[in-house]
Amino acid sequence: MTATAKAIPVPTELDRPYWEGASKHQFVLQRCVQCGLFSSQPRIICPKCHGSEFEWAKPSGRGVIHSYTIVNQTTSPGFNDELPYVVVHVQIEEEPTCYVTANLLVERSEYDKLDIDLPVIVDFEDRGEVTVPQFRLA
Amino acid sequence: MPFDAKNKVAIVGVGQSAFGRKLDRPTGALAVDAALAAIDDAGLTLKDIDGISTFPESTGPGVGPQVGLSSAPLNWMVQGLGIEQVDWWANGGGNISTAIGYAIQALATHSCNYVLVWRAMYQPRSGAFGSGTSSQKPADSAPKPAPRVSGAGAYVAPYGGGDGPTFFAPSYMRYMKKYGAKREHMAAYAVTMRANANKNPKAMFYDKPMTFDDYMNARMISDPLCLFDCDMPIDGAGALILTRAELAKDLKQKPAYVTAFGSGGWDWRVRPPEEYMHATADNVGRTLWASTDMKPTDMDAAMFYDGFSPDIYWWLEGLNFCERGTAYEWIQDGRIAIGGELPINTFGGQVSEGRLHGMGHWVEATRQIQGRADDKPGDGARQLAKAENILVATGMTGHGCGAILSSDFR
Ligand SMILES: [Zn+2]
Repeated sequence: MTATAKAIPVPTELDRPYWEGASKHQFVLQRCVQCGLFSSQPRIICPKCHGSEFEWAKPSGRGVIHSYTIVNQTTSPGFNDELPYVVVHVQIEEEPTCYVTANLLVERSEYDKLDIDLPVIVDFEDRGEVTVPQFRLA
Repeated sequence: MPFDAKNKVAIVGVGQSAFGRKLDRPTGALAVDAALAAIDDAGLTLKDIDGISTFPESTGPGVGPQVGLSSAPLNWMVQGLGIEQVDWWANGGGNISTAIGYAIQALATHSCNYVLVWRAMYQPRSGAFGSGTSSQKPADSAPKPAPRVSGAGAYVAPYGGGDGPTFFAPSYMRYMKKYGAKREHMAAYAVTMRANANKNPKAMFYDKPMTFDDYMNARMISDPLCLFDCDMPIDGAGALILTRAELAKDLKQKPAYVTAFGSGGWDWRVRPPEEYMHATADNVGRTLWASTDMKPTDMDAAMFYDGFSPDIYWWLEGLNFCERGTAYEWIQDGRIAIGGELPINTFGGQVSEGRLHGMGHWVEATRQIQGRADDKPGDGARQLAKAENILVATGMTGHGCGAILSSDFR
């Protein structure tokens, strides 16, 4: 039993669809209506075209590991019992500037085989009150 | 046309407080200690100071609003020092190098005459920055409620990605995988820093030598960052006095002239690891070298911000000391040691002296240029035989500042 449970994401007006999508095991990202830029966290102005109209779109959920770390010591609440765990930055296949941070759901015996640029696919982890998007090797 | 700071401004005094782990003396008092020491070092009095600049604006990361106890922002220091009037001030800027950069610009444009810049650091009693808990403490019997996070934190905290090493490790991981760097290569940096700290009585690791094996056997924090790749949190403060060149020459210390200056930064992209780190160094390098005719080979030493040891790679490559993806090889064989081709962080860096968020680098660069880097003058411990031009670059998350300090006009 950890002394503290893992942090719980609380949706805001801006990103409610992201977390509601996750609760239904759907991976949605904010996309600029005008130029199609996908963003990993919601924006109110598109940095590419200055459009301010956005939609929630379903990317394929595929991407590659841009980079990662295997965390051996942590100050993050709720993660002491998970050590060592993997934090990964996934570059989604639709947009090279869009990086999604998550855990890589992978057996510890596979840690030695991890590498940059490996293909991954989105998955979901139900944590009671919330569901969070995660990734696993494709 | 870059900002032309050449030969207009000099650093003329440095000050340090006591450094230590969880000192009893509050952060604000340490800041006052360092500031008064710097003013005295320059041969000035408090009344001469007509400009003040610091970072951060309020409190440090994760330490809570304890102004004076765990931080020393501008408004607090005005009280702490009893400053009656200033003509110019700057608050924040992202890191201490930008606060120093603002001071250089303000002096060059005659906004004031003598600027005091300070940086005071607090070692969080809970164990680490950005957390209210410590992995080192025994678990409480009663479970605590889960933290609830929204906004940007909601995309990091639920994944256990919130602390410093976990934020910075992926940059280093990608660099290693991409270019073939190994931990064995980084050992050269860590061991050199420790050797330098062994010549610096102010350093946290002054009396603790470190071997290659010590480094390789250090416990992993966020792979590939091991314990000795992380800087050492301390309580402490450092301060500088800057003035215009024409006022500098009559003061107590030899001036360390600012002869080049770069402050580039910022970019819209949510930076992926590695490229994000490269961007800071590239932008500082681009603007710094545009401001001078000097070249990397003209540098007698370099002081590079090292919150985490791989920062050295981004700096060396971004500031054109070596090609992209080669710094890990470049630092081998004594090249960066005292007596080598480009001594780096002769005071031991933040990894071995302690974390002053860049101020330690500016203090050391100044002392080297002034020929007084040894704590016992004349003992030859770490004062460089030739210290005419030294590059100092600090800051490392999208923005920073760099300057060349020189013993004479360039
Ligand atoms: Zn757009």
